[in-house]
Amino acid sequence: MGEVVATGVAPHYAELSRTMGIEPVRAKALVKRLIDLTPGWLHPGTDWIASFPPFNNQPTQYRVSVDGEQRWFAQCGFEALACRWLFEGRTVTVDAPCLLGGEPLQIVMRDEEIISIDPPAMVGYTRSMVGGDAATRPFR
Amino acid sequence: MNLFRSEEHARNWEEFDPRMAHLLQPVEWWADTFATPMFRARARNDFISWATGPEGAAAFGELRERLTPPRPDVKATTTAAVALSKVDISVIDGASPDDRSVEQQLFGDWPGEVPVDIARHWRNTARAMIVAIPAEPLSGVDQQLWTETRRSAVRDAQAAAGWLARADVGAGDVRLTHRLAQMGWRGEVADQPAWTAMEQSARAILKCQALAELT
Repeated sequence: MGEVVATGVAPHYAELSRTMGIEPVRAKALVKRLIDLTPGWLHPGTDWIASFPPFNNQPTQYRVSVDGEQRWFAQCGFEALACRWLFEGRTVTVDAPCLLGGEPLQIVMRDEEIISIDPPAMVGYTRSMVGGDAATRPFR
Repeated sequence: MNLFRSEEHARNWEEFDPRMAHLLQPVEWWADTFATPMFRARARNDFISWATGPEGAAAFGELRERLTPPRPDVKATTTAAVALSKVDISVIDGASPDDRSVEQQLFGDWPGEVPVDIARHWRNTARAMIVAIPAEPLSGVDQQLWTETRRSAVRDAQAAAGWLARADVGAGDVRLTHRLAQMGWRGEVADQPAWTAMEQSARAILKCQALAELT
């Protein structure tokens, strides 16, 4: 998680093995276990981390900026709201288009405080259970 | 799991599913939801141990509780179950799926406090029972025995409806199967297809409860 927070990119397990000082095969198993717990997912048919909540390695429409720097993408609109817990004391901004009409949405947060919601009537909605079936997570 | 400019935008989204309307919430509500311990703990160095231990289980339970649909309107579903249990068995027993007498039977004495949408689905459930438990016997089954079995099945479905309305079980709840087995519906006479039909009918009843949750 520290790597994603610092760089905006989830490491490959081979990179992780060096960082952690463990064998690549063990790092690979660790990644898979962590992915199952989170819930994130690997890109189908690969060992590449596609999603590691609250972040997404693959760009999504949920762009996350910290103190004005946009480097991260959130897994979904809801997880975007959880990014703030990984950037203590810093201003986290989520920019996204509305799925109906594409008009811009913006949420600004810092720790416990929701600084602004634009437009104020913004809502969240999912037609799937949060953290639902692993097989369909990338497609919900 | 998306954000929309307003409730109207979300409801007009092509993938909006009214069955999940309980998860249409102000963004502040979602911010609170994603502020529960499950999400704050991700920065922990011992996250795997935490998530798989009692604290993680408690946090996950808290999250699930928050996301659970509102409990059914027990009063409405119980009333509906009582109304269904009062339907003259001979009406259902002799009816075909398109027989309007079933609808008349259900709506004739339908309690006023039961929402119309629920009443409609209970009517459809009664019809599902008729379809699922056909009047014609399966091959190799004595006609009289089949008629008795079918009548028994309808009674069982009615009894199950009353029990289900009180027991707060879900459509996927294994207790449903156990309860039907306790009622003696083991399919010895009617064989496996009828058993399946019976179970499906009971589960159709549970879908009525799910509808009550949305009303």
